[in-house]
Amino acid sequence: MPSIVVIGYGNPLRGDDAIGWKAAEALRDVYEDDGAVEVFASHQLNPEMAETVAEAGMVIFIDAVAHKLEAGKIACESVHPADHSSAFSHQLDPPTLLASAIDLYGSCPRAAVIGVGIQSCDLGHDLSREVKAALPRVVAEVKQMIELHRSGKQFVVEHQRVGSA
Amino acid sequence: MQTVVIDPVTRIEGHSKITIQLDDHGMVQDAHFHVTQFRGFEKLCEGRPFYEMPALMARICGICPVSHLIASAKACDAILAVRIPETAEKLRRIMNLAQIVQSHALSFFHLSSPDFLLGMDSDPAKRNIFGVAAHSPELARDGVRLRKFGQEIIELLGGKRIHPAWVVPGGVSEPLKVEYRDQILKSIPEAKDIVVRSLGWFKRQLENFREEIRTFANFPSMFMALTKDDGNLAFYKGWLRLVDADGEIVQDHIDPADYEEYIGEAVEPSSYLKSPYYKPMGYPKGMYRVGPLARLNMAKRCGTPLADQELAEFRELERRFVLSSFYYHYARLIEALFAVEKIEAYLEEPEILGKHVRAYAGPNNYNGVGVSEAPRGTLIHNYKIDESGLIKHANLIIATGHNNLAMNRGVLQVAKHFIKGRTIPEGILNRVEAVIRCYDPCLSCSTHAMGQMRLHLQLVDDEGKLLSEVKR
Repeated sequence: MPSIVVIGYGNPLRGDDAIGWKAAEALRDVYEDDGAVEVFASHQLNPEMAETVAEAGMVIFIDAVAHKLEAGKIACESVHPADHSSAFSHQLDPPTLLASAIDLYGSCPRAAVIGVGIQSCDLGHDLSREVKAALPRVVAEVKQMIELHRSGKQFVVEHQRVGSA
Repeated sequence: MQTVVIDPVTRIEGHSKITIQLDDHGMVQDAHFHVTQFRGFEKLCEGRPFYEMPALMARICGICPVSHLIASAKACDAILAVRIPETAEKLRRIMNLAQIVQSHALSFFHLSSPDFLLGMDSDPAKRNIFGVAAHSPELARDGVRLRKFGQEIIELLGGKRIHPAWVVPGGVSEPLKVEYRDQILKSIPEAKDIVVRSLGWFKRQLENFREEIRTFANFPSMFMALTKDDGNLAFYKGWLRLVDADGEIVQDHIDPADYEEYIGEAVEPSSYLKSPYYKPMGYPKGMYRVGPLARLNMAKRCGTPLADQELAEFRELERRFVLSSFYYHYARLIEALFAVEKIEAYLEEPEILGKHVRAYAGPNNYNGVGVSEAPRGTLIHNYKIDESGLIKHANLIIATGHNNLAMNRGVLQVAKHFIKGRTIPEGILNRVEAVIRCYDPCLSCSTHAMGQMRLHLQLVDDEGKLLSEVKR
């Protein structure tokens, strides 16, 4: 099993909501020949991912963030398992997915979320100018976190970056 | 009189509400299931080229896109007037069965097992798949693994789990790779073990649900499903058959292309979900049920060893046609077992690796009908095109729609049995929702709309005044 799992999620048909998906596609190319890194692009997080997450040494989630971040800004933070009380059960957030990994498989790895501030989730394939400019920085951020993890250092420093492309 | 409204209905796919009318003594007079979402796919596809339909129609739903792909592609095959290659048909059948497994796993484990494991009256905050995981991790793991099994087959065949575009008019776009066949075959034993284990567990729970079995949409009705020439279980191809509650054939050998002669669609002002009915009996007398319970009631045999053993036991439940909708859950597991066995059988046939998987033609008919059995029941796609091959008219009849009249009657039956007075405990509300869950309705599909299902229950008096309300 891969020791590092990257999951970019969002709707590829809803403008900037696709940033996680597009970052995952770019990272898939970067790590195509690296058996220790597995990259998923997904519409949403779901319980079927719990086993993969439980067996990983580190998980990085990439998601669009509305309202809390300016468009194109990137925020990285650690994420921890949390209680879940959702009535819906085939769509999760990162803390709930981590908690499900513990409930179902007895473990969950260190994890972080890279959030990207977005401009618009209107229908369409294209990212806004700001979010498009953030895409290479998201990829670089993930690569750096993976390198830090591999060197045994703290792999996430919580921060926000205003990206200048 | 007062009305109870459950809004939204939870642990189903889509948005709906339930209203229950009580008389002055707090006794239930009437009850209705309302679907509150709408998207209108039939209209928005007008003017598009017919060959776009499978990919477009699959977008109706994120849970059962494969079912729409199959029915839509079959309607396009009819427009092309082609007989698709044998390998392509078998590959489509495998994908359809994988869809049955993943959807039934979602319904049984993720949506309904919290009621079976934790009880109808348990804490609603824990009555979900996470509560199941905390209480019985093995059961939850089985649900996750079984759904993943189906999803992975869909992904291997179609390139992705949701909205694969691999099923096309005339066949499929790519043959099956040897390594993918081997990968799927390797995962069969585990999937089979999970379903057999789950069937054993569920059968042991039945004793705890005698009252629900007796009252959950347990009434005589007709049933409809595709049936093979030999009377065995059919999911991809066959004749439509209707039988009554005693198993007597009402109408047999209906060519799916002639569905309009036999199925009418009534519209009620309080719901976006239409109410199909058997035309010769009129509306609403022509109520029938579709889906796992209908298919197993009607099937002579499943056609695979383990599923046939289970079917024999299932038939002993009531020593005649099984009428309680609570047994939809049981039927779902038997169908999942059949699907796993049948996928294995298809994959072991040498021609499954054949390279000829698509027939090509231009439009040869102006009208095409495609029918298949989706997880929730019979699915009908009908397209009419103009001389340029553009869609002039589309009509979709979805499994959940077929069951609309029965769901409404089921809600009334449960409400009448369990609601006594104006104060309604949460566990009783859950039972009113649970009768809907038996049918595993997919409202995104049935109104061709998007969204998740929520629940809204209102209690109103005989003048329509709202007395109390519960929303989730």
